[in-house]
Amino acid sequence: MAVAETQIEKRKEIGWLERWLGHDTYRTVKGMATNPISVIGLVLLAFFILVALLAPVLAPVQPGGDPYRIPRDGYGSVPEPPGTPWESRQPPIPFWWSWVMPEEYHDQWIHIMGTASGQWDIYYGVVWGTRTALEVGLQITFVGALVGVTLGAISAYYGGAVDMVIMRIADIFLAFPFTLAAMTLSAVLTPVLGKGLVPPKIALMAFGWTGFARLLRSDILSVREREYVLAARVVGVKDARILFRHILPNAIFPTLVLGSMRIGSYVITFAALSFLGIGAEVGYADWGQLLSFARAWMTNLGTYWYIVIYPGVALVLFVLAWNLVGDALRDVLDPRLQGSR
Amino acid sequence: MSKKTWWMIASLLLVVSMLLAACGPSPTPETIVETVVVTVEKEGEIVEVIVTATPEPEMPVEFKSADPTTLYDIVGAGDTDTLDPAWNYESAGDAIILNVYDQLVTYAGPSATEFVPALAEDWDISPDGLIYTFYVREGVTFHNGAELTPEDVAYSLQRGVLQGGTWSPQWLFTEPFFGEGIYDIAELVDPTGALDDDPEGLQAADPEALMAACEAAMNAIQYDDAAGTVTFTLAQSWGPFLPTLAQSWGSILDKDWAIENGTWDGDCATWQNYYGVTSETAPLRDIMNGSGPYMFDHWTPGEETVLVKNPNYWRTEPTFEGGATGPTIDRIVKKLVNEWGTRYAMLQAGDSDITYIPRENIAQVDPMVGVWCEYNFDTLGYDCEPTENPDAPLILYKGAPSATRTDAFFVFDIDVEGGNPYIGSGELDGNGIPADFFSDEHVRKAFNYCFDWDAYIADALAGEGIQNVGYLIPGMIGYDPNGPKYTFDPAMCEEELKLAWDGAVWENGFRFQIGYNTGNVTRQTIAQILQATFSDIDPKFNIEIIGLPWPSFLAAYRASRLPMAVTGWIEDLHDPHNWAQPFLIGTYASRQRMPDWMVDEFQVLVSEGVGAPTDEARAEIYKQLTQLDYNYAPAIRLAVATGRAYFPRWISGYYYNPIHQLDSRYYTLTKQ
Amino acid sequence: MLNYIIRRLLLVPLLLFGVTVLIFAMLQALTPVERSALYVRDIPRNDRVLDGIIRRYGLDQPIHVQYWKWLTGTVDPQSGERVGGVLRGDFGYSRTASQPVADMLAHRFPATLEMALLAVIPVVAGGIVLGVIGAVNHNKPLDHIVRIFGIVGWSLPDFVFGLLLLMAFYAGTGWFPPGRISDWANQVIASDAFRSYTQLITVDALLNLRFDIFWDALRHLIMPVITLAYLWWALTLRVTRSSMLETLRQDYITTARAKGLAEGVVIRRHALPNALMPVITLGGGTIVGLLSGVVIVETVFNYPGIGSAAANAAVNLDVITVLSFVLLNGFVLVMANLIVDVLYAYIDPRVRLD
Repeated sequence: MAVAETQIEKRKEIGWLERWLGHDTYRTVKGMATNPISVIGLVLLAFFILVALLAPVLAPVQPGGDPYRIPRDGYGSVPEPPGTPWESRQPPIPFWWSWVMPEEYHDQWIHIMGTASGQWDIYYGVVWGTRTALEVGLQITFVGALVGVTLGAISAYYGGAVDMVIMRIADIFLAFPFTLAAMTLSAVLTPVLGKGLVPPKIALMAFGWTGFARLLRSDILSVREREYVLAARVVGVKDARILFRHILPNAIFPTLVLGSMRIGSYVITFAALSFLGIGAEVGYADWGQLLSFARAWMTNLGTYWYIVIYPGVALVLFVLAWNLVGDALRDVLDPRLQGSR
Repeated sequence: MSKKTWWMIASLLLVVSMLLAACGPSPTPETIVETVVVTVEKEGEIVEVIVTATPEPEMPVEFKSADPTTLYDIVGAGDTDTLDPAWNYESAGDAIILNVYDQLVTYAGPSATEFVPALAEDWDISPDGLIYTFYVREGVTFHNGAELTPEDVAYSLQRGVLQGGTWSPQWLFTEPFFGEGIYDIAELVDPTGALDDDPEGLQAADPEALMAACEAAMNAIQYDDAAGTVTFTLAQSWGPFLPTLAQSWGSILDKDWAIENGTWDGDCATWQNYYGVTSETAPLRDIMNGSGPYMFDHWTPGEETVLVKNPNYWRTEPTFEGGATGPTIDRIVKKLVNEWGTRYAMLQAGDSDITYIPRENIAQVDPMVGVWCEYNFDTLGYDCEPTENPDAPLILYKGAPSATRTDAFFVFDIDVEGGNPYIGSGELDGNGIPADFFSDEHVRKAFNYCFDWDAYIADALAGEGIQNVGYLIPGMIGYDPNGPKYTFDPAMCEEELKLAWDGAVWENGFRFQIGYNTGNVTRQTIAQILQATFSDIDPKFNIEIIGLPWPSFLAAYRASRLPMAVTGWIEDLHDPHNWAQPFLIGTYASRQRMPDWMVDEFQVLVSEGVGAPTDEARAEIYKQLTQLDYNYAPAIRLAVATGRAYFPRWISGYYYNPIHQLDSRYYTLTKQ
Repeated sequence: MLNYIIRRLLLVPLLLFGVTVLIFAMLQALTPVERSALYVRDIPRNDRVLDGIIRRYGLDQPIHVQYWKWLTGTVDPQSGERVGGVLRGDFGYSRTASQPVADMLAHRFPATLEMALLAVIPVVAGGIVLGVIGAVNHNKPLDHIVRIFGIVGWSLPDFVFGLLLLMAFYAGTGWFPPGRISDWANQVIASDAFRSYTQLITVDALLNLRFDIFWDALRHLIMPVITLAYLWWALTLRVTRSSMLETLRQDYITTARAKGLAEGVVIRRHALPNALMPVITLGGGTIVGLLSGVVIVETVFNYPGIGSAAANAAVNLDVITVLSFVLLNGFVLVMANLIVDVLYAYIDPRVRLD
């Protein structure tokens, strides 16, 4: 009787949200919402997603033009400071411009963040580069994680020779220093596939799966030995069902955390490739590519600060956002997790 | 919780502001101002000018470096490939070789057309231009102490020719020695060229043919130790022969030393065993022993090359009035720094005496210039004036024409085998171009009229360039600044477009891609200028621009798959033949797949030009070629950039000779 | 345990073989002409040049033939002897470094090693101390600062950070120059008066009692080391912090506190040793990470180590050079992990290697 009473009391405390989400998920969400670090990360992330969604409004595209090509105002090599008016081939002015500017400037579009060497409009590049960053980060992580999770699960579940082969292959890929591997593979792929985002993306995917595979494998190995899995096996549940219903859901969380943190580091590596001249094409809306313009002007940043600050800060904050979220997620989910970058 | 949040935000802001602070303006470089007036005797020129040009009699500023005994030459991309003068064909290697080795003749200071004695005290040329006799200087010693003999001279050039290799500079010798069109010694054994760069094949060739080839080289280059002469017998009269000898591949080395170090032993029976080395197997790859003003100390690939002063340098007469006779700086350190930001920082810190400054970065350096010198085409020197900031630490030498140019070439017969992504549909349907699009003269002229030279010079060359007339560069024999040239004229461009392909081009428009190798801003800008002018005429004239990585660019270019190739040429020799040959009949003509009749027409004049006995006769022929080039318009001849060289003001003695580009003869420089 | 070590060592050749096959497989993607681009820096002057290069280097041969040649060398036609080949210890010639690969490694590896070794100090010292501070002050302001510090470290791209440092501490002041050593010091080192024991300039300078050279080398090292270390420092900090947090929740710590031991003693004597276990595991990864981090850091600081050579080689598709860097890296990785495993088993009796 007494037992029943306490149960009823506890029930009362559970709100509709917790009932709807389930206890574990609710705990996670609550943890994320109350942890200041994750809040900052989520706000930043929301901001970037918003910018990406609103890119056509924030920085309108020349009709018929490729939205990912940064418009340029002439070809001169000296960067122009923020506020310089557009002179040639001015792109359409966004409608909100007339709200924020006095009457006489309504027809004059300016370089809000200045221009980089070659007169590329930095503002446009930063805004549309948000899309590139999100696309690159999510795609690479998704594919890398998918491949890694599949191989990791197979490896852990079947063990023996399968495990041996997969893990040795992973070892081979891990023997490459990540940045150098990505550089080499995209340098090789570029002549074949053409310059653009595809070669570095493929290169990063090709070398990104190993971390996921190893992490998931070790997590599955530990979950596999737990009582409820053994019980399911004894009862005679099928392999696939055990794997998908019992093992994976319990072993996948660390992988998710790793994924969220990886997004940031992939975006950095991708930017580094662009910076070294083997990533995105010149003039493509990509932060690393914008930063590579700044490479030649770094030591004169007193004068040309805007060519590195805007794309640089965007890059740092973007990565920071994912890392904050990932870090908080990890603390909430499992303080023991040690991921690697 | 809210308290915590504020904490977080505050610390985040702190980090961000720290970051921003780190990016803030860096202090401007300080110049050490010394008020002590030291009267230093210099052969020179520039120091005086500064003083007299200073309006008020204020304290003259002395510019002194921290270490006047060592000169730091900080170069950008491109390490030396090899130090073997017979194999090196790159300016990075030249810059070292020309300071360590001597040649028979050399340039008269800043003049690119006059020659003065070097290791040859004098020379005769037979009236038919076929026999050159050089009187070798006596009493010259190599850095290892051995004495120079005529035998050394002959051996140096024989070895080079016999070492061969189509990607070495030796074709510059094989043509005059064995006849036009012979690019490698192996072609004397097998005229088809099948044995070029094939040492195994050559070693298996007929011994008699091998012996004959070697003897041909020995006959062309003979020496007489008793008379102290070396005699060259050419296969045909060859205008640019002296310029060829004055370059790095004409370097003279010590025969015994070279053989000791594994080069050809001088025996005609064995030369094939030394043929066809590669950069990595060339025996003299990383050692040097010349007779020049500087001695080789060491080369650490990828990092630095160090030279030290040759105290026994033989030169007593300067190469031009006011020139230096021997080195004054003890040590030259040539460092490779790829990152511009790093080089710039070194320049600001005063750690760099010669700095490679790409054109797109000059705006960063100009504020540091205290003296501004303009090139004077008459005196071949510079006229200097202080800037508004006369105490600034640098001196700028500006306006000298460079000996390199980028042009846009049309491909007459584009390769379409296996499909060609660069020409769209491959038809004149407005969505592509046919493979022989540029074989129509009107198309080529339209493209010429549609090119905006002013925009090109303003944007790609930072306003410093001269539109080129024809295929030659300004100042060369046969170059006429008032000769025929195209100008930017959209109306004429439209006219020609209407005539092209019987009006089909004007009717349907076109679409194709111009490729450039990524990182090459000039090539990219050229394509963009064309793109813009054509789309201004009508959007149906559609040029797309595609950046290709270097390997793909090279492969597509080589297979003539790019409809228009934008590439550059750096002259090997300062001679019109070195421009006429590649542009009208050789390198580019074959890449462009020019029709045979056109090449034949050019060929007649090019052969006449290289063989004509006098400069006047040559000039006349090259002018005719310019007219022909204008009529057929096989390319868009763009512009020659005028160069800039920046030095700290403690360096003096600089002069400019277009053939050296921006590389220095270190012995003429002094450092305080 | 010996058994385990032998088995792991036997895997090394297999791993290295896999690595080389993987790289040669990448080459399949390129045509001979594209590969010959490595040997010319601009468009060649006459048309036979590329043919000559392809013929001379056998670039048009099937990839397995090229691989075999790389592995076992070629027969010299004059002497009839086999020359070159990795299996004979000849790693080939690096086009981008203009010297044999073995020379390049011998010359540049000590420079990289010096940098990586120095970077370990701030990584370990800074990372562990800060991690412990964070954990002890869990969810207090100090903890948040430490965490932010770590996360920002993670988020700063090394190429941007490096260039900002260079700008701030060299451009204006000349305090910390790029490169490895000043020219005057280099001359001293090359002279007979200076004896090189280890090729690590800082160590050699101390052994020769040349403190001026020691200081000069240090001046060049400080900024690249900071850039390199920052990232791994952040990682060590995180691992230490979370491991410490977990340890502090253990029963025996509660017991120790309940016994009335001072908090400092509890942390130093009881918690720290156990919390450091995962940090040791991280050690192997850190060493490898530092070695691969040098690729970008050395490029930015113009530091003449193997990383900048490898970066240059990768961009120019100089496969021979990339291969040797990756082989070296793979070897170090396997050895580091092995040592960590053995060390781990030695410290923690619960772990058995089999």
